[in-house]
Amino acid sequence: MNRAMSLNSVIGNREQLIGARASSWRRMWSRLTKNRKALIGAIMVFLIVFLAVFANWISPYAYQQADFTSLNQGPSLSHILGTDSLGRDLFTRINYGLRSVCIVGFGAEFVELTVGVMVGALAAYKGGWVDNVLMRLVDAVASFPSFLISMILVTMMGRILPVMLLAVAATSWVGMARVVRSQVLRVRQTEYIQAARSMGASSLTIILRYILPNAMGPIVVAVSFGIPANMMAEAGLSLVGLGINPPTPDLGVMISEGQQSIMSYPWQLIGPVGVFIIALLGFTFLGDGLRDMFDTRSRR
Amino acid sequence: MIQSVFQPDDTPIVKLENITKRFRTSRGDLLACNDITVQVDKGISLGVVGESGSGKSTLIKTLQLLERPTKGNVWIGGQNVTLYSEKRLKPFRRRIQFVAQDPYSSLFPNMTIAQNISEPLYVHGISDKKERRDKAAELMELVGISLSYFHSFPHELSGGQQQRVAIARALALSPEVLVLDEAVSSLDVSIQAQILNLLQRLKKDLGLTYIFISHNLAVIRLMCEQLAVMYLGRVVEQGNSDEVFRNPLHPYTRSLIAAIPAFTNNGVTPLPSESLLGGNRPSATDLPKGCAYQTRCPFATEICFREEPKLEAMGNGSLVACHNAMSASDNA
Repeated sequence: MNRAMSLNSVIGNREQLIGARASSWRRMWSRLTKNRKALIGAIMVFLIVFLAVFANWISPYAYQQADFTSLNQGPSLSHILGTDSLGRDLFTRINYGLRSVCIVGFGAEFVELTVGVMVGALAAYKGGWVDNVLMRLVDAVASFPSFLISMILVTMMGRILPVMLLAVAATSWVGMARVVRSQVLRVRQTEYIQAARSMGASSLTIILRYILPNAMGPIVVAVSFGIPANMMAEAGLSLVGLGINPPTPDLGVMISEGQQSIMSYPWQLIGPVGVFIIALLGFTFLGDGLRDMFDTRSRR
Repeated sequence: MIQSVFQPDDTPIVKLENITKRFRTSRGDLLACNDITVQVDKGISLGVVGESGSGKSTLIKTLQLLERPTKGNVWIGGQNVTLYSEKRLKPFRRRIQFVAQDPYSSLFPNMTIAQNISEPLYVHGISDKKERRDKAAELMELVGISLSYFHSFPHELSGGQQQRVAIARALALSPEVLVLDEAVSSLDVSIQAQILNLLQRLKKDLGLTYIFISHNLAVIRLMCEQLAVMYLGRVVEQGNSDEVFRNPLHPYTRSLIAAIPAFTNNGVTPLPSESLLGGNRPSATDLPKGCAYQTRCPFATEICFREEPKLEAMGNGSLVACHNAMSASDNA
C-alpha cells in the first residue's frame, strides 16, 4: 500500500518533470512567427496563392470579357486596377495571370524536385562510376545557356502551359540535383547513420527516418528559392514574346504590354509588376526564413 | 591458432578470430588489421590501446559488422555471423551496442532526447509508443539526465550530457556488451570522471561487459580486466590488464606506459628517454619486412629485421609478439 503510493508519486513526479511537449507543428509555427521576415514572406505567398487558386471566385469579370465602352480606364470602383486596351479588367487578368505563373513556378519546381532528388540521391547513394556519369551529365546541362534552351523548346513545341513548365524545368533541375547529392553525402557519412546501422536499422528505415529528415532543410530552402526563379524565367519568356498564347492571361505578357503604354496608362504596368514583385519577394523572404529555421545550430 | 589467456567456462560473447582487413588505396594496400584474434567473455572487459592508425577503429567496425573482414571470422554468442545478411544479423546486433567518440554527431539531430534513447526499441519493433516513452524516462534516470530534458534536442545539451544520452541509447536494448570507442576522450577531464563513474556503476549494476577503445591507458586500467595493445594493425601484447601494467613485456607497451605522466610525492615522474620513444613509424601501406616496430625499437636485433614475431605466451600469462621480449624486459 505504502509502496504503491510512493511508486505512484514517483511516476507523478516523473510526468511533472517531463512536462508537455509542444507538437512539432506548433514549434515550427512559433519559430516561423518569431521570424518576422519569414512571416511577412509567408503572408505574401499565401495571398498570391490564394488569388491564383480562387481566381474564378474572386475576379469580378471573366478574363476574356472585353468592354469597348471602357478602354484604358484608370483604377475605379468597378475596375479596381483599371482596364487594358481592350477594356478587360486588369485585376481579373492579374489573378488569372498569377494562376499561370504559379502553375509554372510550382509545377516546374515539382519537376525539378523529382528529377533532382532522383538523380542526386542515386549519385550520392551509388557513388563510383554512377556518381561520375550522373554528375558529368549535370555539369553538361548546367553549362547550357538555360534561357536559350527554354526559348528553343517553347518555339519548337508551342506556347502552351505544359511546354512552358517543362522548358523552365529543363535546365534548372541540375541545381536541385547538386543540393540533394551534397546533402545525402553529408548525412550519409555522419556518425548517427553509423549508429543507426549498428542498431540494426534497415536501409529503408535509414533513408526514410534518418537521412531524409536531416537532409530536408537545404532542399526545402532550395525549393522556396527555386519557385520565384521559375516565375522569373516564365515572365522572361513572355517578355520576349514567347509567353502563353493569348487570350490566356499571363503576367509576363501583361508586363510587356503595360511597358509599351507606360507613359499614357501607367496602371497597366504598375498592377502586374506590383503583384509580381509581391510574389517574388514573398517566396524569397520565406526562403530566407526557412533557411534560418532549418539551421540547427541557431535552432531554439 | 592463438587462444586468449582467459579460458572461458562457456562460449564467449564475442570472438574475433584471425581478423584481417585490407583496404585498397591509391598508394597500395593498407593492412588495417593483421590476423587479430581477441575474445570477450562475460564480465571480462577488454581494453584496446594503440596510437591513431593502429587499426583499433577498423577492428571495432569489423566487430559491429559495419565492415566485413577480408579474412577471419566474427563470432557472436557462439555463432559465426561474419557473412550474415543484415536481416539475419539484426538479433545479434542487439547484444552488442556502441557508444561513439563524439556524442553530438552520433545522436539523431532531428529527434528529442527521449526519441533518441528509445530509437533502438523502435528499430527492433519491441514495444509500443507508451512503453518506449517509459523506457526512455527510466534510462534517463539510470544514466543521470534530468527528465526536464525529455523533450530537448541533442544540441541543447552539454557534451557530458550528450554522452550520457548516447550511453542510455546504447543500453536501451539491454545489450551484453557495450563498445566504447574513445567514449570519454572528447570530454573535459572533470566530465570524464563523471562519465567513468557512471560507466563503472553500470558495469556493476547491469553486469555489462565493455570493449573500451582508448589511447588513455589509465582509463583502460580502471575499466578493463583484459588489455590488448595494438601497433600498426597487429596485437603486440595482450593479457590481464593488471599484469600488463605491472610487467609490460613488449617494448611498445613499455614505452606507452612509461609515457604516462604521473604525480609522485614531489613532482612528476620523468618522461622516458629519447631512445624509448624515438624513431619514425613506418607507413601502413609500406610495412618493413620483419617486426613492424623495428624502426622504433631500442632492442631490435638482427632477427627483428628478418622475421615477423608471433604472439607467444610468456611466463606471466601475457601474449607478446616480440623476439626479444624477455631480454628486453631484463634490460629495463
